Amino acid sequence: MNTRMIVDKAVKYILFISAILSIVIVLAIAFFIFQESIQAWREIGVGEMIFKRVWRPGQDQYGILAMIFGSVAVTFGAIVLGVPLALGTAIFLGEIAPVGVRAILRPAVQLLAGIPSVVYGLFGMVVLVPMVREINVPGNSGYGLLAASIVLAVMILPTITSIAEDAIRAVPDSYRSGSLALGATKWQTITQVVLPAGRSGIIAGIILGVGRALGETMAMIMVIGNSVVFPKPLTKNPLTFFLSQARTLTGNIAVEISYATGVHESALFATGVVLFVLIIVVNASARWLISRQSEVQTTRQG
Amino acid sequence: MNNTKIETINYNLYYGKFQALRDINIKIPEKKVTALIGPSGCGKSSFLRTFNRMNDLIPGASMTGDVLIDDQDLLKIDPVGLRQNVGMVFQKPNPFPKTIFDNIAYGPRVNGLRDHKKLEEIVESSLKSAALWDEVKDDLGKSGLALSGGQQQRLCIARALAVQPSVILMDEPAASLDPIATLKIEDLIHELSQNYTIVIVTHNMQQAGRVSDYTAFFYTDETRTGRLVEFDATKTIFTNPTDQRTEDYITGRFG
Amino acid sequence: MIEETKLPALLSEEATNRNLKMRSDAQKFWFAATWIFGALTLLILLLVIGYVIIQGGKAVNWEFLSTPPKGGLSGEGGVSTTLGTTLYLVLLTIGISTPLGVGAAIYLIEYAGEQSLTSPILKVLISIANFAVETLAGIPSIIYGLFGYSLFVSALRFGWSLLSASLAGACLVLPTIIRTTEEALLAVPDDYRRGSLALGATKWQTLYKVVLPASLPGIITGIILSVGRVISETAVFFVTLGGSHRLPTSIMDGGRTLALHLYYLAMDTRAFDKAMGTGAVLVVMIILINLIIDFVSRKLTAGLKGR
Repeated sequence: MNTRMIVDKAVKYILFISAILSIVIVLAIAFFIFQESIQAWREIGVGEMIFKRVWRPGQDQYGILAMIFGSVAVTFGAIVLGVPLALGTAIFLGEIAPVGVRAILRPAVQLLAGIPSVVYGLFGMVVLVPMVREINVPGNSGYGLLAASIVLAVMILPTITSIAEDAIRAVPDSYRSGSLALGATKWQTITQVVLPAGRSGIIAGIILGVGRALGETMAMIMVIGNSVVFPKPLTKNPLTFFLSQARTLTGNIAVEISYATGVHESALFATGVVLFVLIIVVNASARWLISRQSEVQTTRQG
Repeated sequence: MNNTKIETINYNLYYGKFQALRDINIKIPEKKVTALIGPSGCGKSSFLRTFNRMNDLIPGASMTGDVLIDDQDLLKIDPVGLRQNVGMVFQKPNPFPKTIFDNIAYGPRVNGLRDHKKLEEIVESSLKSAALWDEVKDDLGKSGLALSGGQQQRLCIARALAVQPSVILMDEPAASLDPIATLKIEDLIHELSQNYTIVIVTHNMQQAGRVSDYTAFFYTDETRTGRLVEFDATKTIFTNPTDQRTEDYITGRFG
Repeated sequence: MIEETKLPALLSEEATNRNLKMRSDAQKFWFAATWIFGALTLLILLLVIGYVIIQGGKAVNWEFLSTPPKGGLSGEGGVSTTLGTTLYLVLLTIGISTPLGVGAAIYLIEYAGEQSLTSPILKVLISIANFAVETLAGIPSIIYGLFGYSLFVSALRFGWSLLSASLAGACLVLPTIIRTTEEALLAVPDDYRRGSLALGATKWQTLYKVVLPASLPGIITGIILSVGRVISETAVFFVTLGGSHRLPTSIMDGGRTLALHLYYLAMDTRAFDKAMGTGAVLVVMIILINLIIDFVSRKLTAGLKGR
């Protein structure tokens, strides 16, 4: 009897330690990344790094603004291309697709999520980049924001689609019945009752997609060109902006970390800090947006 | 003499292979309250859902026989348009997660009415007809879900009234409400019957007796297929029923 | 055509009919649009997978799978050592993260509930722990790589090695294992637990003999998912594993996984055919893993309903 109790207690403490481990890891990550970056903040200066455009470590230039802009631009492109497709697919899966079609498409979306990023990158290099190169604009190498946005859009598509579909299916059927009984069509029910009711879940999915997009590394390196220039239109036509090459924050880190030393290395960690902060800000503002929504929509039940 | 609002002739309802209702012949009078009573599972709610073609939404549901509303074949009417004319109130109140105003305005809006002034008028008159106006008139921007259960149900009734139907179907509308709220609903039904044809499914016999002008008693045989046993003025059903099964049910020997 | 009856209609009869037709047409249009979106998504999948498997398949043969890569800029050779490295990395990473992740999940679900009665500090710690798991799930792979680089590769001097990489990888997949295990535990009905406790078993005995076996399919699903992630992930290992094309002989040795090999081929050499071949092998592995997960999930639902 006693041994059983001792074992029981011992197990509880061991499991407790495992549970606390996550906190330890988060703190360790924050600590180490930040600590390694201190040298850069001190020697280069926060303003010099974040607001300067030129990144040339050989000449003591450590401005990451071009990379911030590159990350934001490619994420923006991925959202513009990916969100409509993801939402449309989510609505299709959640409301319109017959059972047999759903049985094919849902696993297909899951499979899309599992494909390694380097495979998407390779596909981008071998198929998309040559296609983009066909666009007859001087300076267009095929590599750049357009190819990268397309690849990234496909990569975040499954994330947004599955979360949005779950949010749509979670809307109670009683709302649908109520709407149809008033003489609304099914499509009106979807757009005016189901989607607004599932709004917070759908937005959560999009935010997750944004986070995934900001954090993607290898596939971006493979198709975005990686030249450390501030992306801008290639000709007078502003649309050629998307044909410009760029470099992301993530790409900056991965490409140079293997040979960087001293301040240079520290600056790469600083890039990591900026990325980290950017993602936290995006997640936090999204969560705030969502909690505001649910306050507006409902209060206590009668 | 009453006008017939809804009539079914040799009506049968199937869910896949299962027959839910057999040979229903009934003439539901206009601008009166007709109650559908009977033990659980005898198809009353299914029968109710026929009238606004909500059964169409159930996969595998099919029917034979004729259903006429205002002497027109139900199947020849566009279901979307039909449902504007034949409204429904559900057992559990289901207001949308929108403001009170938007809940009521939803129906007219989806049916094509855009004029904001008209919408305001409709919201006010619907809430008045549902005996809810005084309680919420200063608070139309409040969420519909913030009301009490009884208020939510009256909101749903107002919502149904807003699209100007001529028939209101009610599926056990007071089943989830407390006794006071229930009485309010029953008074409301009585008032509404002056302008609307009301068909109400209820498990509560006393309620049927209080609220309805006509009563239809349904019953299932061993095959669980529902049949219409008797249909008559409520007074008659409750004091002098023709069929023995009706009498047994009324006096509480089963169900 | 509708024939309206008496009705004090909302709109005139004519306007009503027009409105009905307009709404019906709009619905037809939008429904078709969503069908197209769905088809497009499916098409994208088939395109990517099809292209990679067909093009890559041309380079895959027994020689490809059994010869090591030449390394450097040449792009010659096969992928044999990378397969080995990938296997070692998977075993190590899963070996480290599974006990920790499953243990954490068990505590957070099975023990954390009652603690709220005893100590407020504990309660706070637990909500912080839950928040930490969520945070970890959102951290990008490259950050785990940087962390692994600074702690394991540099500070602890493990260097570019299987050890560094598997430790960093374990941190990466930890939130996945915790979450899926939590879900699996939550799916076990409380009656099971109460029945066991009522017979006089301790909490741990209940867990060990009743709850864990019942949640096993779900836990296994999480583990297999993590296996898939280790195979697919690159950024975290890019920075901790080094790029050696040789097979590691100890855990202090570095190497490259299949996915990393693809990256090196694509970026450093001109051997796109071999890169595609590597990609084909990867994609087939992922498809197999997805099928296994599907199968296990189906066993899971059957187990909770039937037996």
